[in-house]
Amino acid sequence: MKLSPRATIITLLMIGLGAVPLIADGIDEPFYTVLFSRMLILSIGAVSLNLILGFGGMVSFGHAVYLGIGSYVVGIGTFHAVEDGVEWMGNGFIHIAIAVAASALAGLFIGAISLRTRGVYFIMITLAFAQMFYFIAVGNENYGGDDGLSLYTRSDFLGLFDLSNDNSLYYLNFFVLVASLYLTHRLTNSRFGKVIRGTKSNEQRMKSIGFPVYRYQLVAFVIAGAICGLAGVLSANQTDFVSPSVMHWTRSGDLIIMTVLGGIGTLFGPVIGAVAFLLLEELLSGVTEYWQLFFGPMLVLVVIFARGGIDGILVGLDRWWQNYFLKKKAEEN
Amino acid sequence: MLEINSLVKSYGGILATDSLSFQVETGNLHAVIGPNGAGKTTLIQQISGETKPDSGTIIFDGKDITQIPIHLRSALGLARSFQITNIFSDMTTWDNVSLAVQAKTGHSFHFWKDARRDAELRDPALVVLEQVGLSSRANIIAGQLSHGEHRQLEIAMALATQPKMLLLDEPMAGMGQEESTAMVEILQGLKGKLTILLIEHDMDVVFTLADQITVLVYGRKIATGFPEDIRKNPEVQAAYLGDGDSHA
Repeated sequence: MKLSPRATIITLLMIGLGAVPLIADGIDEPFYTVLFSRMLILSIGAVSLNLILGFGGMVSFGHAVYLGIGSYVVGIGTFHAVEDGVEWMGNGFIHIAIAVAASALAGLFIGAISLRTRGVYFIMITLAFAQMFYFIAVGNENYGGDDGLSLYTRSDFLGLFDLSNDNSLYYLNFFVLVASLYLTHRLTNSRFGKVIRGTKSNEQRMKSIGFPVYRYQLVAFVIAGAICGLAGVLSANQTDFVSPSVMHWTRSGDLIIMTVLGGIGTLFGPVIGAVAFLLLEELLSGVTEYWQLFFGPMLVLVVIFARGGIDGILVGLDRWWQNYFLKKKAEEN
Repeated sequence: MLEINSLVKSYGGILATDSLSFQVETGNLHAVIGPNGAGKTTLIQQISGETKPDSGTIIFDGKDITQIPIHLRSALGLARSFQITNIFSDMTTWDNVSLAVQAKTGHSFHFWKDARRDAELRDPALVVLEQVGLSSRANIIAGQLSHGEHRQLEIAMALATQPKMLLLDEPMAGMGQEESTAMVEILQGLKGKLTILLIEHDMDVVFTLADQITVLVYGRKIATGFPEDIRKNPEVQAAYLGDGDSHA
């Protein structure tokens, strides 16, 4: 089997991500495991956003709200597990179940109302809902309010794996990312996915051939929220800390930037985007405190010159590669 | 098959549809003609459900559909093609029609199986593409088709929903002579198999194809009947045909 340049780069990226803890341990720099762990978690968030933003054309500006919900489920759970000795509230499986259910429910609530609007109104109303959840978290003094909540312990997976080990957490993140990518792949190519993508392409026509598009969009919105809620569970464990800032609107903006930077509406685009975003942040913030001053123009350049994001550049590379071989063949003949 | 009763629609004082009534018999190809601004597209939008009439009723296949949403009208067997090409331009021709087939195969809450390898969708789509002469273009991205092919695809997507009745909004708009001829052939092939309401500018086409013709002027019906009667009708000649330009 011969891989195109794009497929090769993406395969190497995924293999590389899978091997990070080995390499980091090998060079004795465990810090990289933590950095890349964050990338994986935000990748999952961006992958879930891409499902509605990239494939469905629904520009949600409040996607970080599910990161917040997932995080707070872990934060509140472990808080009671430690403070009050309620053991089941520290259980990781229960964290995941509740976080996914609560995020799906929030998605149902936000989506049911927001999806009745379109365009700029949709963007604003999803932002407004996210801010609403943000201020609920700020106002909740029992769980730290504005200051947030430190986790005394990570989610407990009954000894199946030990999340207090950063490498175990890393592999869990990696597994969830791969699973969410596979799920996205299946979803977007299924009949359901065709309806979602068709609605992005031409909503009027979808209605006229007989699709009740609202209910399909709503289900997509709920699925995206549920996946991102799972990312929230991982995020709280990663940082050992939960605060309203995980669902601040700038976080939602970051998720959009990652998705656009990597390439919206492609399977691996959000992963590429999240990795590139955090690498640039790491590199630039090492050089200057005002790293965003340089990051902003870079983003503008990508949006103007590479409309498909970084993945779009890779697609262009594929095309160039193909032409190169065609030419070579023609010359040989 | 279709019954329009005293339909009224106004846009800020201008009556686009002025207490309009007529019937389309089952199996007929019924043409609606009229000069620019006669309210032809407004009429088709009210029948398909994109625009709500101010008053009056639309009865389709024995059911009052005046108030029901677009996708339910489509489910009842009413399909339309658009005057301005309205397709999924980023998908292949085959995918476009498959999606229209999918609309008729029950709900689409199937999350796992690859829809592009689903014979239940792909095979009927290919049959329809054959019917409109597009099967050789099945795997081309729809946005890259020629204008005439876009119109053919429009018809294919409408047909793929297995309608009882087809609403065609100027299928010949902007076509060259050759493309027009091909489209007339396609319509001739469909005639008699299902009921068709055709809105068209081109008089030659209308008089070649139509079983019945209704003439609109400023939203008002001035005549309805067989082509030969319409041709002879003095009011129609004065309002429309008499200006000597057969293509209006």
